[in-house]
Amino acid sequence: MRSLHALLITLAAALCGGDALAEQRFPPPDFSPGYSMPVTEAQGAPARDDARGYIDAAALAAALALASYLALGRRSRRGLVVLGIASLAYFGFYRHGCICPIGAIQNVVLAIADSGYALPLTAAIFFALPLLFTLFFGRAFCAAVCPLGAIQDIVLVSPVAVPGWLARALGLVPFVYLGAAVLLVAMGSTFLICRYDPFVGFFRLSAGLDLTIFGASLLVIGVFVGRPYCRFLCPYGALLGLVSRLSWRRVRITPAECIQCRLCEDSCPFGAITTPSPETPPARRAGKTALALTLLALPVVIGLGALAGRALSPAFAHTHATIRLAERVWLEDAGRVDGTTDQSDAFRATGLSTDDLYLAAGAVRAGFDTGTTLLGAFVGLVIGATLLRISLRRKRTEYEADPALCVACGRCYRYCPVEIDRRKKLEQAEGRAEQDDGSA
Amino acid sequence: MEAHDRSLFAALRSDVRAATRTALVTGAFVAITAAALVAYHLKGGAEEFIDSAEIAAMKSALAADPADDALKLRIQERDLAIREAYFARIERLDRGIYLLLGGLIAFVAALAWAASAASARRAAPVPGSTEPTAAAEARATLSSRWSIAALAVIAAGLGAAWTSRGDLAFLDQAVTAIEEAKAPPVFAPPDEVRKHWPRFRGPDGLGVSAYLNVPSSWNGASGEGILWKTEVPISADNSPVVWGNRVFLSGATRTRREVYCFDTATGALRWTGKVERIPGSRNGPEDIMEDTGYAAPTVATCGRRVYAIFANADLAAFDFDGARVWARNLGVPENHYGYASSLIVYRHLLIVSYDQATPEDNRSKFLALDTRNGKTVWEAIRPVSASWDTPIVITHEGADQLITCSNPLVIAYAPETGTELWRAECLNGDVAPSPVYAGGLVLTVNTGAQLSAIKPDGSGDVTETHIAWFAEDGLPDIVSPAATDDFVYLLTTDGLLTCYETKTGTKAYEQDIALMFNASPSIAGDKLYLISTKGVAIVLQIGPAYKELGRAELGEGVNASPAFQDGRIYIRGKKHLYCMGTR
Repeated sequence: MRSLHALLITLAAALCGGDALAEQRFPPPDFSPGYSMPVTEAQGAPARDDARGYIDAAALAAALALASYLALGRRSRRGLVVLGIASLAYFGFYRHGCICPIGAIQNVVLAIADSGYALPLTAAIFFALPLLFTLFFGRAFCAAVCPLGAIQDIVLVSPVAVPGWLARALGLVPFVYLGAAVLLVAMGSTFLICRYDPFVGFFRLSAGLDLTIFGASLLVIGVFVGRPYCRFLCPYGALLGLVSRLSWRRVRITPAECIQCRLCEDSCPFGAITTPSPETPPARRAGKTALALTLLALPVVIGLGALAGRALSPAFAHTHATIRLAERVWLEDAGRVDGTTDQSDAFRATGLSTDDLYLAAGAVRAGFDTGTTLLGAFVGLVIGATLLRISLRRKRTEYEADPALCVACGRCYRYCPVEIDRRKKLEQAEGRAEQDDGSA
Repeated sequence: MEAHDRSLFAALRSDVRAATRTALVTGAFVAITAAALVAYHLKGGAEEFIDSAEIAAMKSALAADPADDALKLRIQERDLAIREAYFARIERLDRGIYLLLGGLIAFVAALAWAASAASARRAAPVPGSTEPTAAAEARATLSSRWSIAALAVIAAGLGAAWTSRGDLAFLDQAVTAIEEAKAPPVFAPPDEVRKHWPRFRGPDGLGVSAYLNVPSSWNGASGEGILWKTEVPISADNSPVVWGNRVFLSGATRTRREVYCFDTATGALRWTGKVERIPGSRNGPEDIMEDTGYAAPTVATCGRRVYAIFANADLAAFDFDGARVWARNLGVPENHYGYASSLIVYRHLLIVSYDQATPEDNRSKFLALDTRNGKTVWEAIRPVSASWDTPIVITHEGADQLITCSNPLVIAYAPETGTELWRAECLNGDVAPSPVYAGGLVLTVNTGAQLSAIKPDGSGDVTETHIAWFAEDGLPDIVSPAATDDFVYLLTTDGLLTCYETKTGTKAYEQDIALMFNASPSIAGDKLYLISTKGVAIVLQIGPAYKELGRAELGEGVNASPAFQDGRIYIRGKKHLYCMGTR
């Protein structure tokens, strides 16, 4: 019985307080007599054809394959730029930025958290395919398939290097964003990633002023700072960064042995090129001490994160429609606000008791208490792991693209004399082959 | 020619000046277009479309006259015009966005051109002059650690700021209240209740003081015998209620309703509880009788909360610190003088007399609400007309009875369930005097009816069987009686005091006091307290003959009944609350 009540409350809250579900954007027109209202999908009209979704999935697969080839096989920056523009045109402006793998994270989480939600096949494909390609070929998706990456890549005109220490700290933000987005979806609050997609307003040529300013700011910053959203916000980028560490094949700056010319040193606008280890290594004892201290601090950092997360529970809980509705109804009943809202009116019209609403809100709050504690612990773990990674020394003998940071844009290729030499030889070989074909 | 074109293109490509100028022009275009779009966006228009006051007004007019076809047509035409204007605006915005997008593309291209031209002039990249060293690596590692720590601190600060906006205290309170309501109710035991003055006319509603050491003389002009007096923000005729160190009153106008808590030690107003924003509440009613006012009912307290009801049937509970616990509106009762029955608390139940209209209308009822949350526990529909008296709860042979009076019935209910126990048809007219209980008899009275002494041990209709005696002299129309086991006192508004023997109904005496009275008489030991509308208090000896012990002048009109506590009497005047006593 309690679960039934909870279900009813949740439904009522969703209907009353949902962001877009029940909200009527426009008042119904005052039609002339005799006008018959069209049947909407909710009233039994046939659902949309899913063929478009499958076409999108096929386009995604093709684009990923092509991007992988251009980045790793052909090593063509120009090809990647053209593919990026095409992806921006199709997935961005034509398909209005939806569905995209970044947002698909939420569909997948919702499917796991809510047994009543059936994950659309298209969403599953959009979520999994870029990860799968990354596992084999590095971040091909970021290279030239993601419309968000492409639009930032295009505006990157005068790159300025972000200091490594700053980039490292800001690089934690996508994990926090990812954790928060997962929590909010799992709790049934909101699709945070879609809600704050900075570029979807451009793709649809329609957005609120706040999002327009956010997106435009990112683009302006992106003129100087390479892909600020991808590097310092994108939650899917955080996942791809993790998976790309395990990639079967990935971007190599030089196609053969690195000659340590250092010409590529400043070529990456994303700070993804790591330098060879110094000739004289730092003192082993100091390094070991730092590592040991970091290891010891790890549980403390995780614990502090969990505590901080728990403290944020009420604020996170306010994103949930049931909590907001319960608060509104309580404030109305306590005489602390004037009038009523559409949501509170709709709730009262359901005939459900306020006790049921408060108990449902209490259950939601309990979920947030647990969820935010876990989120905080996760953030603590990410911070701890990053500190640990900083403390670990790896011997590098040549200039390499950091697999987690490299978006396979191909900019570094043209800085490498070995690559230039390879291209010349390739062009000569192609020229000879053409001549042979001609003489034949 | 081709070579010439190629060199021209190459020259243009490396022309920084041309590229910069193009970037400036396209940048200016973008800025102007963006500014124009923002200005157009901020100008608004969507709100007007979604919430057109003009259409709303016309629809209201149509609701008043649904057959007005011309108005319907005007609404349709206006609706269409607003919609067309809205979508034209959207179209203009769309065009602007396309312009902006085109400008942006040109701007970015120009920037890229400028950057490319500038880079062509720069020397080829030269490898850094410094080799990576262990010290540099260590510095970078340290910087990274500090930057992560700094970010964590900034995030913690932002989180703290965000947390301060997301308080869930309301949920704690709501869930606690629900859990409290599920637990067995907690209420003050009768012995504790009798130490205070928790309702109209004291603990049992009989106007009898538990304390004998109350003052009998004071002087409003000189201040003698008056501990303090405090102006009440909104005057009304409800009576003071006292619990511990708090005195409660209420006040209301047509549009404002308030509950007041005063400090017994100093008379300072501790808090004012605003009774507002209650779903379903309306101001008014408009046609209320001036003498009744908007806050005639006296508040009641259970010792933890105070409850107040007003003429518009707004009912609210406040805790002792002035926080509203719950509130509801019962719907304005049909009551031609205005709502005046006071609230009473029985255990964990708040009893509300909601008599209205006529017996035939079947709309009169008593409600028992859970004091913890205001939810209705029971409801008893009553075949009576509107009434203005306040019920009492008596204990007869170990069982509690809720005694209610109205035209034409006195009805006793089991207060826990609302089950009717007995009824007697012995009232008439507009019943305002409240019942009292003394000598084992329920005493009810109203002008135009009779003073009835009813034995409360019957069941069903006891009209013919349980009225021990009745009398017809000196029947009051407003003032409630006061009674001891030996004597019953009736006081009419125009000052006729009539004394009957409680056991037999034999009239002991009657005395014309030549003053007007609205406050009900009270008993403290062997003294009877009467307070006139001009604020003259008369203290009488209780007995078979009229014997005046003294008079005290307040200097301010009084309609409310006094509250008696240890060594003190609280009197509400027309404007002030007074505390009589010496300590």
